[in-house]
Amino acid sequence: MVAIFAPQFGNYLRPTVVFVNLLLVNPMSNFTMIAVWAGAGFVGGMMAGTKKGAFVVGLMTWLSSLVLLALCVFLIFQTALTFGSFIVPPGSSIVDILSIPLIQGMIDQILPLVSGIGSMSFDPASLMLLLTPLLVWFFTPVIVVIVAAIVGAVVRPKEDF
Amino acid sequence: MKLNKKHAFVIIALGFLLSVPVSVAANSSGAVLAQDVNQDFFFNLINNGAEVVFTAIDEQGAPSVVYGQLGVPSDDLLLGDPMYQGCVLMALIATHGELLNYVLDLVGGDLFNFTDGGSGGFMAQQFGGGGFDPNSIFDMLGTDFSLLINVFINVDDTVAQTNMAAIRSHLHTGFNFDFSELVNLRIDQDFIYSLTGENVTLPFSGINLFVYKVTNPFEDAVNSVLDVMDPSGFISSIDRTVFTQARASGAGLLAIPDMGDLMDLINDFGGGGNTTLPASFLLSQMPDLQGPVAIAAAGYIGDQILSTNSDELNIFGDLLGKPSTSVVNGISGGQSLVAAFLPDNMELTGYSPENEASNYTYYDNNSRIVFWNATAFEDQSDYTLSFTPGTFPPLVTIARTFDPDTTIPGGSTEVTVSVYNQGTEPVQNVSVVDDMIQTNYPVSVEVTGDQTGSIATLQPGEMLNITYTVNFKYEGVYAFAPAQLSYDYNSTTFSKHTHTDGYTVTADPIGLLQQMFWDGYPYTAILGGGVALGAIVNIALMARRRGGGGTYQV
Repeated sequence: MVAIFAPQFGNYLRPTVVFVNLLLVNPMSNFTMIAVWAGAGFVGGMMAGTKKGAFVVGLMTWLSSLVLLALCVFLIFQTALTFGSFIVPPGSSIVDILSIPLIQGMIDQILPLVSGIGSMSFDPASLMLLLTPLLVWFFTPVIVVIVAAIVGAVVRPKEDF
Repeated sequence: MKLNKKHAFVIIALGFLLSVPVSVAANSSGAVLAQDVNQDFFFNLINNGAEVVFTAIDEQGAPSVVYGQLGVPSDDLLLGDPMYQGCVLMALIATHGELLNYVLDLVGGDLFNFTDGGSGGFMAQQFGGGGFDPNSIFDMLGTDFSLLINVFINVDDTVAQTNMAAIRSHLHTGFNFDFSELVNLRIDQDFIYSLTGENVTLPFSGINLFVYKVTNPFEDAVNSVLDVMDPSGFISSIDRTVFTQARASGAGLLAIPDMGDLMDLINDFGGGGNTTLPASFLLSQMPDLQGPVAIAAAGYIGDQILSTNSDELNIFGDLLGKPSTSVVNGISGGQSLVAAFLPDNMELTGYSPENEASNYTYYDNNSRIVFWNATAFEDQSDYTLSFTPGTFPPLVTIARTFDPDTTIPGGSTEVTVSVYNQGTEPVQNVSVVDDMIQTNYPVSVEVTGDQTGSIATLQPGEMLNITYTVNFKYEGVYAFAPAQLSYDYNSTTFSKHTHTDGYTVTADPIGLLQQMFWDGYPYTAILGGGVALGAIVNIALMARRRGGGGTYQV
């Protein structure tokens, strides 16, 4: 994906893709990323040593990633993005893009909902139906990291003096 | 649109693919399509197999070649297995290079008159009136892909999903294919209702469409298609690498697990109802054809191989890589055909083998086609066209090189486009242009140097070079559009172009970070400063023993 789009989107595309993969996690299929978040939260929780501290560490980790994603997206628009010319280089095709797991997951989730909207009048309920899977993916990491951090704090609590 | 041999080539190739139902219908109704074709001929095509080699040479001596086979596919596909229950069609398509652009050039752009401003029946006004280049679609979609497409009809969704999983598993274990899912769609009454809000009665209970990306290399896909074919025919004389090493090539397999099921389905869709329709008539003439049928084909479009001194072309030796010591035989028990389409400027002086007396070969001077019924010729050394020397222009090649081959963001490469007259005659008014990279990437590249060059006469053995430097700001793979060459020979203007080249700018971690820092300045500096300040505060707190450290329960 980076190889195809980076010439148009710039050097911030790679970290953006990394953070998007990090922050949009399908809990039903992307066990690797769940493990990454859980591992990070657990270690952070052990370092914090208290449940309150673990909660803050987990939340701040997630928020930091979110801020960095926002910065990367901003910098893509600020520094590089050019519309009007897009060429898939030889050796690849749009098929390569569509088969990226994250893109594929979004298509699988959203396509039936988009088709369903065609028969309804547009209302907030249908929009929520469309956004629900994305919201689940979005909030999965923060829940996982906080829970794992609290578990880490419980496993290795800090002593009070 | 003026039809020429290029279009005839494509039309006949498509005709071959469509020949099954039409020929079977003709057979059933007792019609005779040609004086030498009896009523068993068409059944033999399917039951015993048929193969064909189509070749076309253009005015510059560049070949287009298609090898196709029709008939019962290899048992390895297991098309009779229960896992194909409900599957009416399975297709494997693999393309490489600029094949789709060429095909569109042949049948698309001119046919619909998109590129010339619309002087014919179809206007380009709907695309903004300024001329629409269909090739731009492939710029966006890309042209290199391998797909597996399966269609199931009138089976439950769970059955279709289970069978498709079994087919994928079989193709993985039997042919080493790996897949990545692209589309898994069921079209039924509920789906239509969700789209339209109306209850529509469909002539089927449901259609399951599966599309998978084949993640194997292009060579594997081509070899798998060729492996499905009957190995007894032309395929045994063909060097498969001709299909994988050409600048534009492709292969495809269309398998129908049960023709009877497909015919029944078409009848159910209404094809057999109204006998006043041509399609209904053809369907009514269909025999009771059962069992699997497959069409497999591979083809390529090559570079110029014929030049000023050329006076003959060996179809299998020159175009299909046959070793000079081996012989060519047709498919065992089936029908084999070789067809060669000649350019207008070629004066044919003979062809071999030749046996028009027995109606085994045929040359039509008007349509410029040579046919061989290869079934009649055993242990043939080759199928050869002889023609007058001087037919084709000198072999002038154009190539583009990069130095270095790859770079990092912020780095540069020197691009050299070389035009080389390898022939024995001079060519005139040579002009070369390679100026699209800045247009395609207006922000991410900077170009210095000459991107055009020309010379009045390019003598034999001489070269014309242009060199320019491209600086890349961002990582990624950059597509260099084909460099264009034109030259005159014998008062005729010829043109050539290079391939579309991909140039890789790799993500050197340190260089990329430096480039990102300066791209994002001052925001990156603010962020870095904030992190550094936090670190300094923490270190200071730790030094004063007011933070960090502590003890943990063990």
